[in-house]
Amino acid sequence: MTECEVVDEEIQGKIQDVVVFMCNECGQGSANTAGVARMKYDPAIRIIRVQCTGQVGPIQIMDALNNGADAVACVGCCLGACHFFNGNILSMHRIKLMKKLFKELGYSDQFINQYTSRAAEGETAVGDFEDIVERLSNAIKDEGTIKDGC
Amino acid sequence: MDVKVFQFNGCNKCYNESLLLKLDPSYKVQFIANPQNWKGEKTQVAVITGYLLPHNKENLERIKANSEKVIAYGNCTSMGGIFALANQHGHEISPLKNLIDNPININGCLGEIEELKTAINGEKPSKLRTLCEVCNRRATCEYLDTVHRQIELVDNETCFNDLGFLCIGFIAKECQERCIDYNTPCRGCKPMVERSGIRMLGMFGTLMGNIEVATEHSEKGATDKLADEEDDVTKSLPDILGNFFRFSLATSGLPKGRIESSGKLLEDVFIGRLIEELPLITGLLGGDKSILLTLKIIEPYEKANQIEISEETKKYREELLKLEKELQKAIEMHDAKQYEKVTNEIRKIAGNMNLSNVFFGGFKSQIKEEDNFDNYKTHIFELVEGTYKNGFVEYSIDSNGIIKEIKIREG
Amino acid sequence: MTVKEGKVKKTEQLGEKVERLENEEPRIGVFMCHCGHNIAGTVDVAKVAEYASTLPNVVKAEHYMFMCSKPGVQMVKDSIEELGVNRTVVASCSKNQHGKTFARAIEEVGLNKHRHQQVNVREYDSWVHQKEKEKATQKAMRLVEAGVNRSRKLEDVETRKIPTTKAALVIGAGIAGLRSSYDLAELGIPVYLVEKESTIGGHMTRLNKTFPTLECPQCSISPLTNGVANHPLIKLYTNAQIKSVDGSLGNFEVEIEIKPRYVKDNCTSCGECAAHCPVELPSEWDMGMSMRNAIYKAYPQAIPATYIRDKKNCIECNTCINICPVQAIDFSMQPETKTVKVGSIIVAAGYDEYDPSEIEPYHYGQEGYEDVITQLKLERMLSPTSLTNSEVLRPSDGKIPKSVVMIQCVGSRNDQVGNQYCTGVCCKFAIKNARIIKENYPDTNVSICYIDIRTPGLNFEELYKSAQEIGVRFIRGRPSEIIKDPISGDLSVIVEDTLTQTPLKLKADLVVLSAAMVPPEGIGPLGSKLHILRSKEGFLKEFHIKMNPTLSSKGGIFLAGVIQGPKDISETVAHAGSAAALAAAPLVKGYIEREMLIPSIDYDLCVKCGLCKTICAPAAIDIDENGIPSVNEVACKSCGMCMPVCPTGAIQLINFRDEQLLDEIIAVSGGGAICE
Ligand SMILES: Cc1cc2nc3c(=O)[nH]c(=O)nc-3n(C[C@H](O)[C@H](O)[C@H](O)COP(=O)(O)OP(=O)(O)OC[C@H]3O[C@@H](n4cnc5c(N)ncnc54)[C@H](O)[C@@H]3O)c2cc1C
Ligand code: SF4
Ligand code: SF4
Ligand code: SF4
Ligand code: SF4
Repeated sequence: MTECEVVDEEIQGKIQDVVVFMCNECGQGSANTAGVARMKYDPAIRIIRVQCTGQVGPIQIMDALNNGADAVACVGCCLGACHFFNGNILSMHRIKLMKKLFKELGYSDQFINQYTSRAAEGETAVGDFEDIVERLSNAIKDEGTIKDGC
Repeated sequence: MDVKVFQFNGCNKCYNESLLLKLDPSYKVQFIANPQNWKGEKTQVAVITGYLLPHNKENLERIKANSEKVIAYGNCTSMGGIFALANQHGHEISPLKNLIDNPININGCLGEIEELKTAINGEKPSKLRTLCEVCNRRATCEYLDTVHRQIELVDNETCFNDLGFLCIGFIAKECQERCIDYNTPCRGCKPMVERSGIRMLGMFGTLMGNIEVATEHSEKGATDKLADEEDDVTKSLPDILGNFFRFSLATSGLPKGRIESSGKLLEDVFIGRLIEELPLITGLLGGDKSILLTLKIIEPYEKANQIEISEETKKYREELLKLEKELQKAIEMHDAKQYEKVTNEIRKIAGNMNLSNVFFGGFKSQIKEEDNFDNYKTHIFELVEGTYKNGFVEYSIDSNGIIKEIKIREG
Repeated sequence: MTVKEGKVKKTEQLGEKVERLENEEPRIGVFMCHCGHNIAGTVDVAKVAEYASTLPNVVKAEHYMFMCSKPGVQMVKDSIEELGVNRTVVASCSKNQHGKTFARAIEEVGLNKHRHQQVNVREYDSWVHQKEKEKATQKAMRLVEAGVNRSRKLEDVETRKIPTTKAALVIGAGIAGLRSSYDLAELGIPVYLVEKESTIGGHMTRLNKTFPTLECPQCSISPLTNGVANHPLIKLYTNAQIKSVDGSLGNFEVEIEIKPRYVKDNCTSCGECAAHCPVELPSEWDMGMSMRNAIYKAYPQAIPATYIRDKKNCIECNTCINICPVQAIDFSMQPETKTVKVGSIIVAAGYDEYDPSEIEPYHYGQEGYEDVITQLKLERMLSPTSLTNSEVLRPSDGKIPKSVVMIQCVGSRNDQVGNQYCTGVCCKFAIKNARIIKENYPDTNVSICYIDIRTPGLNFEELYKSAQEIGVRFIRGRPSEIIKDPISGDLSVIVEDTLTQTPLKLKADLVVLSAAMVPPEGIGPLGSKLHILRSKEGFLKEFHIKMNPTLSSKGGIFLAGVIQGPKDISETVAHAGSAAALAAAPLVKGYIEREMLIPSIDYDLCVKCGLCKTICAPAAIDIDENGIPSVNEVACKSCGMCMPVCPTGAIQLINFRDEQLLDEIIAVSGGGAICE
């Protein structure tokens, strides 16, 4: 795994807390696998364990952003392989609407994202984390952090 | 009881409605339309109406200091209300509770006079049912297969949500101005939970689980990622803000909007809204000119797109305009009896003071038993991109039927 | 242990009160593990422990070399006994690795194990940020703070033992249902086997030969059909359907409706009645390849062997009643309803062959196109008991066809008819049948028009090769149309050979459509009675496609065979065996253990919208006649999916409540609201 390419220092400095809700199944599993394999990723990633991404609602996402998170992401199992039936898909729908809402407010839609990962493959989790940071850096480059300009 | 009613900014519907307090001899009511100039005498109850901006803080603190009890009456004051949609464009409309400590909040657009009285008297508010509990429509509570825009209404037995017209009745308190009785899904002007907009987003987002969402496969880590492109889910809701946060944007916890302002707060409220929601929004914020404003706004669209208006529709619309003139007179004279009479007349035609029965091409539900409803029924209409104007307003909508620009002549 | 007396907030749960000590003062013990150098080599553990000690309610904050070692675990226990710690936070490895170790430890000294909060500072921190010591330490502080915050409001979760009913229900007696029933019975579990047809065996008994070995299916299945029919623990109900299902995992109550046969069990299967019955009609079982009477047995080896009367077609001449030597025939028999109690349910309702008549260009089922048939009909034609004496004869004129064209993927891999999936079995059975025809009639041209030939797995490529070798012609292309010459009446198949890009017009005396396997009729209502979900293709949806392909969306209900998705017989049998084992487990054990990690409902907030029920996949929410929801503690899977859909936040999963998550979120989000 290569380290995230983008991120110049200044932007990197602005990325401090990225809250990642990870489901108890593939989400946690992949992050653990990544840990065991000593794969590097950005220390701003803060993992919160939930039962299923289907449990994470706009309430939690807004709680995180309101309390200073720079970005929020949900990581669940692969589509069609949710261990609780269809939680990841439902979460995806909500996040899609949250993204739209942020756009309507004039923000980048990259502050909130949904991902999937596979328990046995740490690189899927790390890939997700890198993608989060990359998207967030691009968003910050274009329009500053979510906190700026308030 | 000594009551002072203050009108701050925006539409004066709640302010006018408080005229009705005069019908109760136990209140000594005074109306203050310009609180900036108010000298500040001691009072028992201060009722605040209208939306509030940061610069009103000083005045409000003065009121607070001089009153035993401060009541935020109506949505604008208690939660930001419809005008707070302008916060999308960076305005800073805030609810009273953000400006002074512990006001009593009475929400609703209009705020309900009986609730206001209860608050003035210091009685405990009665527990209200939800709108769904009093609704005549039957719900099946299934996943939604589609979400429609409110351009056409067919059935009045099935829950709006099951028909695909999102309705917030689940968390709305039962109210007097009941839009749902006039073929208009509830937009939640009396929410019974905090952060109602966010909750609705969670609820409807989940229920839309059957609607196809765009997904993509990324090279990195080879995991499925959420596609950033538009899909059926986002297309279903072209204006989430106007739909779920119509009255609560200021208290929703969402960050302040960064969309560039047109310079005028009132116009900012309209920009981004859906064409079919226009009549209801003007009905909500037009104060004692809402009928004129609403009809003026729908008129150019009807004309340009050849939506036929029947004689009967015209007749009822004219009647409404006449009633509005009488209303203005009653307000001017502070004649509570006359105000009550005229508003009741308006309600008979327009459904309620928010005019939810008024729509493009006609009315949404039957006005009088003996009428032939077909003659003034609302027309199904299409979304036609373009600029629409008359001497009063000028607005343009894009191909999705979203207001891009609007100019309203003041006065 | 000091527990301050507090206000108890009561939340009703299925009549029982779940009590929550609201004002108990939390006393939190934080233990930071070095994990040798694994953590301490990157994270400044002393600094983190010191920071933890400053957090509200923390009464002890320690760091130690190996928390999972005996002395480490003892430290945790001692803190509870000596300092009255009532919530423990261990910052070490993942919850999967040692979370249980500590949870068990605190349980040993009398704390509920759900009061332990595991913080992962190894996999999530030290191991992945080895080069960034400063940041890793900062992050560890955040994670520990989050753990402390989360632990503050942790509630006790009870573990309950729920006794199970030792009996199982199997729906459908195809090969899948038979396999499952027999396996269950052999484990000593009484089985009720419900079959909607009059005989058991399903589709397999109708096949001529089974690939890849071309064995006789009757011979392979009959030990099982007989074994099931004679097993003392299996109660077989044929001509029966499920009427209603109630209950959940471990304890279901099922109503079975048994339609009358009009022939009593003392029937000796002598066949006298049928021999004298004046009514004759084509046999459905045989796809019209043989005739049956109004009183009949589906096929000679049918089990049960008892005859059955077809009331619809019977002319009530009473001949059979008079002729039956044992007076078995009784026209007054009435439908019966049986109620049974079972602990597990297996659904093995199989499939239907796709009806190709909706594909207009193939003219299947239309007049003048009798020679367009499906593979299942061909199987019946070839079978030893057929009307044609196992000969392949054209239905229109009874002649042996000089050319046979098979069309693959009929109703499969076809968006237009709404089926995207590949049935996966048709290529194999088409090749099987093509080979059989070619072997029996070397002069007949046999062609197969395909999109792709899919013959994965042991022995199947060999089968494909062997067909090629004996001269079966394979043409790559999906036929656009079957046309009929208006003068000669001959059929031709129009297809473009996409390998050579030549349009072809293949003369066909017989066209055989390899029709898809589709969900069986009536599966929709059955699914709703069972409260289980279906896939978009209409089959019953498995709980997890990889890890649990036999469990349905609801606990205690399992899927066996094609009802979960198309399979061949080998796969069906394996799937059915797995379903039986899973279904048996809780019944053999006698009880299920369930942690009551379920949502609680605040009835002051609940607006009775019923949406929690809508989205709960395992159907764990019951709504009573007043619209009030309650959580079925056995069925609930603790997923928390009902939380975001609830418009008022009334339904909250214990220990994952909005407020509890918020506490954790605050600690890791950096503090400071975006726009105050
Ligand atoms: C033409 C053709 C040829 C084939 N050849 C081969 C082959 O050579 N080799 C091979 O391995 N596989 C072959 N197969 C596949 C094989 O038929 C299936 O794999 C197998 O029969 C599946 O068994 P099952 O028990 O799941 O389903 P089924 O055999 O369909 O059994 C389901 C049973 O459930 C009953 N049922 C349905 N609904 C209900 C209800 N609501 N209540 C109660 N009972 C119900 C049905 O009546 C039936 O008895 C072939 C399939 C076809 C179509
Ligand atoms: S959601 Fe709206 S339409 Fe449906 S029942 Fe409730 S109030 Fe009526
Ligand atoms: S009574 Fe019916 S079943 Fe019996 S012999 Fe006559 S026709 Fe056949
Ligand atoms: S937690 Fe999951 S399984 Fe339990 S009631 Fe809620 S949605 Fe159903
Ligand atoms: S979703 Fe919430 S409000 Fe609706 S019935 Fe369930 S618990 Fe009650």
